[in-house]
Amino acid sequence: MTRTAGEFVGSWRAALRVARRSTVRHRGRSILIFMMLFLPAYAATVLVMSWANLSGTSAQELSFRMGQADLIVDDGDAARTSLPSASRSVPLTQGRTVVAGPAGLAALEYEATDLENPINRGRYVLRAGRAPQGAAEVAVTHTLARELDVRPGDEVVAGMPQRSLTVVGVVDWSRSLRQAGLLVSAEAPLSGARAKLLVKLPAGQSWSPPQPGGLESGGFSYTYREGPTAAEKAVEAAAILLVTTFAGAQVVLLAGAAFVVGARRQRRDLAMIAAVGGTGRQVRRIVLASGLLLGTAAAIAGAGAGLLTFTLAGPLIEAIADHPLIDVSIPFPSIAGVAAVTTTVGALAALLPARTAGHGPVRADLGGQRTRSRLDLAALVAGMILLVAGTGVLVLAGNPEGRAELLALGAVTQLLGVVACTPALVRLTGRVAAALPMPGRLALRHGARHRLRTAAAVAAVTAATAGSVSLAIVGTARSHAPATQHPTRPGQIRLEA
Amino acid sequence: MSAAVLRFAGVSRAYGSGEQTVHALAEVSFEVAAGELVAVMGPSGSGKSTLLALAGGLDAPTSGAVFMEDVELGALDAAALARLRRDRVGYVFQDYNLVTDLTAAENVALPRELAGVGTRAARREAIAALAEVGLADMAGRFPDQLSGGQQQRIAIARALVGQRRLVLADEPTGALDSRTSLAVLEVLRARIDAGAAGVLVTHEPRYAGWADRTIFLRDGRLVDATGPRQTPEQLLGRTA
Repeated sequence: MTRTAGEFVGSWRAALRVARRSTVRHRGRSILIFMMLFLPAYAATVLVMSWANLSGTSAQELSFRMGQADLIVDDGDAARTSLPSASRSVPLTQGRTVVAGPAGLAALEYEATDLENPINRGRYVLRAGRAPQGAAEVAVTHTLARELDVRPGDEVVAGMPQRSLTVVGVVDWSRSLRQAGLLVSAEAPLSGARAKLLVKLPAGQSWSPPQPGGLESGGFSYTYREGPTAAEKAVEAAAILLVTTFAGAQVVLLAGAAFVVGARRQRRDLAMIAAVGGTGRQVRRIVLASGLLLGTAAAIAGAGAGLLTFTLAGPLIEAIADHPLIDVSIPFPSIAGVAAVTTTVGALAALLPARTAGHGPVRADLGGQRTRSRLDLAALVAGMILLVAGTGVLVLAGNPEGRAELLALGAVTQLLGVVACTPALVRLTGRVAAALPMPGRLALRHGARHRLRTAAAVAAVTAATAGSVSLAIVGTARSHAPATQHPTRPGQIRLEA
Repeated sequence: MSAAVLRFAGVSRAYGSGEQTVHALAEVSFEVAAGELVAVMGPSGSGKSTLLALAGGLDAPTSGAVFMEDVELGALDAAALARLRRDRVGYVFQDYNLVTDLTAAENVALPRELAGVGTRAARREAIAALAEVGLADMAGRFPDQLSGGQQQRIAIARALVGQRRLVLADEPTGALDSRTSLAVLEVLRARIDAGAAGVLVTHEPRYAGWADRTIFLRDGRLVDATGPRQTPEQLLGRTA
């Protein structure tokens, strides 16, 4: 091992040792920082799991509505002849019926299909009993079972003409667990509603609707399975960027303030390490190691606790999401991403205190003397530039045709500008302290003297306020948006002026 | 006596500017050879600690030059100065000498680990250094589990572990009782006699007697110096 590599390894080893011991010794502060990092990691893991397994993605939404089908078409000769020869399909009839049970009557939706056909996988979840077969059996959703007070083995009357049906199972519909409905076999629908086909195309083949001129036996409607559009993906990416950056910045600023306090209390130790031969970089690593250590611990604990919560709280999560958990999968890249972001946030929170510690005057720090820091003009100028640039981007992109990722970029740039400007502004406020009464004077001077941690806290509060106000404005705008759909009676059309 | 390990050549250090300039050191020149312990005495504010900081590269002279074995410290960048302290210079301060989150052995091994020596090898060196100061059985204790005298002896062990050539001690007995102070000075003297060079800043003439010679500072100027091997009684007579 070369001398430089040996110094690198040796200094990290020593840094991690000091960080580990310091973390244990100062438990209160360590737990505070750990929780700041753990809670977002925990919440993000639960959200990522829910996102991947419930309604978060367009693909999942499609599975709830289409099962494994690539296509839903009205059943008929025109549709059937347009399908590739090796296509598989299962009929589906959706309609409304009146059902009478022990607890009374209810008008509700029903579906007639073959529950056990693989194409239907994802559309339903069997809670109890079995799938209905033949014309005399029915399955009910758990909401309807509760409303009618029926369970497998009971009888209900439904359909036109009315017929007696034996409840053989409880089956929820994936698209909404609150739905009250009936499920009967494909060959025995409860009304004359037009049947559809759920179609699974042969592997590797696509389907194109026939041209109107080529339809000899009448037209049909269809729903094709399509992924999100580029615009939807862009909005989703911008939302993730915005949320991750703002949440990450909050944690970095708040945890950073705690790290500043820690580094300040540790400064004689750090100065001692510098005096016995630690380079500025090696001293920085000791503070940085604390961030990495706590970030890594919080990432592992947060991801683990999130996965555990998701596993144990399945029914509750299903109830909140209104969708069932089917074929639960762990999105390892996303979970790894959450862990990586948490660790990075921990390291970033320690970065500025680490830089300050690495540049500290050893003599003054050894003697426990306060050192006067310079007004960081470069940071102020950079912050002002970022603020102007971020505002400019927001002004340009802030219109109905604006691109979502540009809006996110502008907001993040503004946030960075605020963070960069705040230390200098906090310091400037110290100059007006003399004009204030004693309590205000003390508070302002204390804040200015400890400007790094004050600035971190102020920037965190500013970012949180800005985020909350933005959300409130968006929410208010949506709630006041005029209705864009007006009901029309059958046979009427409405023309826009 | 061998060639100079530490050399001050017309070193001045001033703080501030204009009318508020404070001259902490002015035109100070002296040398310390291998195997020699030089005591630095003087009233508070005379520049003793500044001299020690300049000798270890923790501060830079306003004018003049400090040489460590013919290497001018002013020509080195911060990282090179840190390496020089780590490899060749050992510091002992009046108090707060040890890193609180490291055990005695880890404190002594710290400069070696920072230099890239493996953990086990560094620990072996540290245990050997602790044995020299009679504290090998305290290797696993943390600073807050040790007395002041034990902490100072461990600091001396750290100051001399590896190939350190120069020990800079700033009032190492300042916070200790007489008996413990003597034990610390015995250890320091033994290591100097083994070939290191040393600078001992002290207020106490009786402790300066452990040095080979003493230099006196007043208002930043070197105002007097004893010859080699002065007895404590002689020193007491000169400073009375």
